[in-house]
Amino acid sequence: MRLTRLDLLRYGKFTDKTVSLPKADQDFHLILGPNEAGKSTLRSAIQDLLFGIETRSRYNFLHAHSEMRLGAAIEEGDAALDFIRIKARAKTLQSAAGSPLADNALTPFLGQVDRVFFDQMFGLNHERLVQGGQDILSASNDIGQILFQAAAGVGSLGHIRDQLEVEANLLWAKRKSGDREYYEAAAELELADAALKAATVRTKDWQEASTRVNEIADELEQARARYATLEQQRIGLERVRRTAPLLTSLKASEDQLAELGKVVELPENSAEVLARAEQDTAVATQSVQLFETQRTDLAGKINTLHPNESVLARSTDIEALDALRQELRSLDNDIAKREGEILVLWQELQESVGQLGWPVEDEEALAKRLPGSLVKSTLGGLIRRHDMLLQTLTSADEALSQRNAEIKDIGLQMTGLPDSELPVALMDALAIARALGDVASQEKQSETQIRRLTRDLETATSDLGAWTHDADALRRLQLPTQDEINTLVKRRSDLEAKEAADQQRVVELTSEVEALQLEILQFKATHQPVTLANVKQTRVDRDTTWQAIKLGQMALMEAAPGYEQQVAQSDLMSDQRHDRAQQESEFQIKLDQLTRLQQQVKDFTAREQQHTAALARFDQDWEAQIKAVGLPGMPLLKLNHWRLVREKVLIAQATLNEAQSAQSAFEETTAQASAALAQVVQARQPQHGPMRLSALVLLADEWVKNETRSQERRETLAAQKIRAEGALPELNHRQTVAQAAVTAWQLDFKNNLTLANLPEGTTLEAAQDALALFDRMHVQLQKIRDLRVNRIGAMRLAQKDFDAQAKALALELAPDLGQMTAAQIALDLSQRLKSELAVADELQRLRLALEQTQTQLDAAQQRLREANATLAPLLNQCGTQDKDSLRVAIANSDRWRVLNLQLTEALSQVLALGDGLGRNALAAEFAATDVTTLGQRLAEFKLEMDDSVAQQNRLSAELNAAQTTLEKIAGQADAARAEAQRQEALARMSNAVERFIKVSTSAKLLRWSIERFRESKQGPMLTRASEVFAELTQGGFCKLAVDYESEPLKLSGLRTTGERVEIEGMSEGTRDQLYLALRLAALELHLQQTVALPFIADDLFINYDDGRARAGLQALAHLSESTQVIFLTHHEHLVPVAQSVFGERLNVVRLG
Amino acid sequence: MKFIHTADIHLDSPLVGLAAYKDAPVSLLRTVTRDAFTRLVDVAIEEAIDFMVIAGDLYDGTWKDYNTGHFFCREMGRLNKVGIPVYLLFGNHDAESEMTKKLTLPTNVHTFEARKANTFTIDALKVALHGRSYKEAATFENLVSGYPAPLAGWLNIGVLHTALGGYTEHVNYAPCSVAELTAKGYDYWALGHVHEHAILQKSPWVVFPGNLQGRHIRETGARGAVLVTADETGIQSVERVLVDVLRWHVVEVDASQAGTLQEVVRLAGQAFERLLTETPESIYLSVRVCIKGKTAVHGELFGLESQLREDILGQAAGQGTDRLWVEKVRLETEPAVDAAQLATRSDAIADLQKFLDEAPEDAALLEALLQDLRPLLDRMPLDVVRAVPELDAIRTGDMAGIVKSVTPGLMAYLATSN
Repeated sequence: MRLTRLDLLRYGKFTDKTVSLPKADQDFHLILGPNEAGKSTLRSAIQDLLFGIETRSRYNFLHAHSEMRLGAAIEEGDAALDFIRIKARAKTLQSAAGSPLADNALTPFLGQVDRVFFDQMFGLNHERLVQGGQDILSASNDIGQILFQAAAGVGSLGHIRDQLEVEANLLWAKRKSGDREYYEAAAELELADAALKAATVRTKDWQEASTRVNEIADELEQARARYATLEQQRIGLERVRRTAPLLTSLKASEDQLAELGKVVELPENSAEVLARAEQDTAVATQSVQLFETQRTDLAGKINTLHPNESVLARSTDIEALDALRQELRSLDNDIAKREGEILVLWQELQESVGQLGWPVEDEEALAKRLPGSLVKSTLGGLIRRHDMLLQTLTSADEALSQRNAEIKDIGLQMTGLPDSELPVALMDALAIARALGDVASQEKQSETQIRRLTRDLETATSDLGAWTHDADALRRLQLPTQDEINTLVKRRSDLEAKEAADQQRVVELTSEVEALQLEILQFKATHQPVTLANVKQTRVDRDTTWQAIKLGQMALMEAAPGYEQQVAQSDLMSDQRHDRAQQESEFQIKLDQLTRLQQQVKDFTAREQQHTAALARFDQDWEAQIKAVGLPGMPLLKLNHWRLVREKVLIAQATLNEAQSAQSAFEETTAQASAALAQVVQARQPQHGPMRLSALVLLADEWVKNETRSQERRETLAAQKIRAEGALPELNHRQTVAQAAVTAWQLDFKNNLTLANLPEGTTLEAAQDALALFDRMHVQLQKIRDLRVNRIGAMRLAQKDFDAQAKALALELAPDLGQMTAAQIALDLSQRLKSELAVADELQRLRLALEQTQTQLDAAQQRLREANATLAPLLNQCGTQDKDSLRVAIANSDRWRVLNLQLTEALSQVLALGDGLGRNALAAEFAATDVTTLGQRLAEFKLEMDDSVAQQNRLSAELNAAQTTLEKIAGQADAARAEAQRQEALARMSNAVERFIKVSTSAKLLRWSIERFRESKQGPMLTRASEVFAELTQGGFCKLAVDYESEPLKLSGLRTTGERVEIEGMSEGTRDQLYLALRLAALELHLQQTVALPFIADDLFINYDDGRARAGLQALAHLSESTQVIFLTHHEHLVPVAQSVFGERLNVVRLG
Repeated sequence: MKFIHTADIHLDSPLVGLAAYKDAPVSLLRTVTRDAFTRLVDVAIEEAIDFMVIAGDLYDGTWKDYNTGHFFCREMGRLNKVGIPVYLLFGNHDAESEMTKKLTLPTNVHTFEARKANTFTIDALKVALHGRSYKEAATFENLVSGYPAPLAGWLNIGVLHTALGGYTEHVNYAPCSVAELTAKGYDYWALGHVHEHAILQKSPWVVFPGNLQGRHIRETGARGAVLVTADETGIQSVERVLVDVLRWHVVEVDASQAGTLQEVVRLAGQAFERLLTETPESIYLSVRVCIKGKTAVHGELFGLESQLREDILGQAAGQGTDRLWVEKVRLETEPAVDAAQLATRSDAIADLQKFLDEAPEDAALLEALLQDLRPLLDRMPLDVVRAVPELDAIRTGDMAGIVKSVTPGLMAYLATSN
């Protein structure tokens, strides 16, 4: 399939752009466009056209997705289709007329190719080319991989295989490693196994644990029963030991009671009652006597004391009067001090009056003359406002005068500005001159370029060597075509090769002849071979001698020794010949061989001479032919190179011519612009002579700049003046208002001075001071009044009241004091009161003591009576009034009671210690026991019981342990959890193994099939790739070769010198070329089997020099004979290169 | 009157095939069979049922831990406290278990005899339960014939552990037919052994409650027991009581429209979201993701299967709950371009395809592969060998099968990994 036309209707930056791709023998199209001109858009457009516009296409920046469309005319053999591709979900193909086409309408043209495959196989860009070269290096020891990657257009296959192998290795390998998924899971399995084993409780385990608990419990029960029995016996013995002494003591008490006989039973405390009654009686009698004496003494003292009741009755008033006396003691001093203060204040006031210039007056008149608070506050307000009013007036005045000055200044500035306009001609001329840009550097660049091009031309011309011609002659030269030259070169090489081969052969043969001759000599020397001729000769010599003897020509005697010798020699030779038949035969073979070789030397020498002659003839013919062309002496082998140089010279000449004419055109334009500008400038400033364009532009620029600046300044000043004049009325008004306010204030101030009794001319500061003075005087007057009324008046009143009180009290209680001062009266009365109070207190104390003594006497008499009463009941009970008889009866009663108590206590102790047994039973048990062995028997019991306790403890511990073991089996899920963990680990292992089998098998299959691919494809692909490679490397390499000796097989390049270069030894560029060679070879092979599609090469040779680029294009030229090649580039310089390969009729499409 | 009919509890039987991975809710799921059984007992108490019937396979036959029995007794103790009797029949697994014989059960648990069929009656309800436990696992005799005649005027329930003759998944123990069961004249047949829930007939009722908790990917969907309601006229209703704690699902992801691995992962994520919404929150999910369809991304998935699994696990974790566990990610996709189409390309890939097609016949290659993989087999525990069918193929030397299964994915991976 090929594209005849591509319509970029609404796609990327294109709208209705048509790219025409007409058919030619070499179906090669060069699409040229600078970067951003849409080359990659075009590449994508072809893919979208053939396989549908991508869902999220990024080429929608100008035309929305819904509007995107492409069109094309395609053909395959006789079939052709003109169609449109739109962007939609379905039915994206339409005919040129817009009717829908079937989705598979392109299948006859594309076959089963999909987008990915098309891109891989039929698309190649610089990036992939470079990557391909790198991939070749990384797979340098795997030809299969190299061939496969190039043939399939896929990226590094090794990467995929390595990835699979790495993954497999991370999953499983024979060697155990914690990094591998399988072994990691296996470790988990081990842990889970151990946990399961530890947690599992088998039924048997439970049974054992359960049985063990029961057994130990039984044993423990028995031990406890045995202990109980022992304990019982021990208790019996212990009881006998406890009760034995008590039983004995009980018997003794019963005997003593019987001895005592009948007794009156008196209360237990009878003895105590008797003793206490006797003691109480003695004490009470003594007390009665003491208290009676005290009572008499006290009554006597009371009768001697008589206090003054009237003084005592007024004790409160007397004490109050004395207190008042003390309080008023300093009153006179206080009054004198206050009056002094009043005098000082008045003097100060008089000073102030003097200051004010007022007349000397009394207190009241002064108070009236002082101004009131209203006048003071009005005056104070006026003083405070004064500064503010003055400030306002000053600032209004200043603003007004400042603005007037400003207006005047602007007027002056405006008058000083120049007044002119720019001529139109200047602007035109300047625009033209500016459009020329930086003339000087352009001229310099242009000169540099011409110099460089001239140098290039000279260099190229010098490469022509002796065959230099002028440019026209060079162009006219009719050189043989390249194919003709190639044929001739081949013929000459053949001739040379043959000559060289023959020459080589002659040399070899000659050397072989010499070697054989030497060998023969050596053989002779070693074996002394006897030839048949030798034998015959010896025999002839012998026979001749014998004949001479027979004929008598020789005397027998003389000849005999010689003859015998000859006979012997002949025999010897004959024998030797017989013996050395083998060596003789060998010797003969060598001789024959020598003869053959010598003949061959002769033949080859003849052939060599023939070839030399042919070569000479060939060279003569060539010389004649090349001389006819006009290049005498040009060697055949140099012609191709010379032709390239010639082309370079021609191109250099053309480029130089182009640059020179461009330079002249530029100079002419510059001169015109310069003249126009000079005319205008000189019209204004005639003093300037002829000038360069750049200077003129500078002058003109300055002129324009100055004029523009003046104009701008004028406009600014005018605007400023209008603004300043507009503000004047407002400023005038403000000044008038301020002045009026000041005048009003002055009148008001004068009036208020009068009201304040101040003279008319009082200044502002004096008025302010007078106000302060008024305030002080007012305060001083207030203080004088306060001292006189409130302080001195109050003190005099208190003094008067005290005198009256003292006189009244003296009249009532002590008329003798009537003539004394109030203070003396108060003091005397106070002393009299103190002595009367002392007498009254003593009388009170004595009365209280009398009362107390009487009470104590009564109590002692009562106690005496009570002591006698306590004995009455005991005496009655004994039937006697005699205290001694009572004492005997009490002793008997007490004895009887003690014995009874002892008896009861002994019995109760016996019963308490008898473990519930009765007295009789205990007595019987006591009687039946041998008390002497009791201790020993108890010790035996203790030992036996200790044993039993130890046994029980042991069993309890065992039981506890067994129960714990049993209780541990409580239905917990530990084993279930461990089993779950096992399953988790197993699942993880299984997953790892499953994936391992997959990836490891894949990696191996891949390796195997790549090897198969190599085996089947290596021959044809390498053969074709060798040719392309040689072409691409411009003869640097002549072919690709496989080293069958190495393992693994290795691919290398052969230089024309025969040197073998392995891939590692190739430069990056050469590897790129190798990859390209392989790709193109693969593509050609591929195209032999299936439908052809356009090959899109996108900026393949961006880093190539022209030579290599040409070689690359030549390789593509071959491809373009079997399929369409669309070559995208942004290098303009590739156009002539491509034209040199494809001819002038090459289809070049320029985008943008 | 209400009773619960359950069977195939397989207490402490582990979940199989779940590989632990980071963020998986591992610890929550290790006791699911117990948890499901506890839920069932909870339901029994809440519903105040009159009795419970367990139709065999309480334990896993090979399970040794006595704690399991103890746990069962504890749960039965809870029923005993509220006066619910339990009628327990031993199935093939129980017959195999050591625990069955030694465990002392609470007084409310009545076990059917193994020697011959016996009958328990509940006089207050006029219910008669007939059944016969397995004496040994391999019980291939027809037990039904020995069951007694129904008690006239009583509700007769037959308890039987049987494969009923028709389930290939299960060993054909105690074979019999529905017709035979019908002929017995009972009102309800409480069956066990088959793990799938099935009501085979309603007059009389023949019911498999299914197992209580699914334990591997072959036991998908909701699991539980049945709650049977009856009155003096007979059985009124049979409702499922779903008590499973973890539910197994196969999530199929159609990757035919997907263009990248990430799109496939997203589709899986969406499927997870749907499944989570549809499943009650109290239930965990274990999911097998099967990626299907003829898709352009087939090759990428094949090559990056490990990454795919990781990303899908990420999707599961990304759902923000601990409820979802990915059991396995299975690639069942097919290449968008099949082998025939590849061949028409006539390029190197097509050549490779041709060689790979011939690979299963290349004895030397197969032998080399076998030599590489056999050490793997030699070192695997039996459980792994059982779980990975390819290991069996290696054991029998069927390397051709492995090669055939790997080839399409490998080809697609090569064709698309430029």
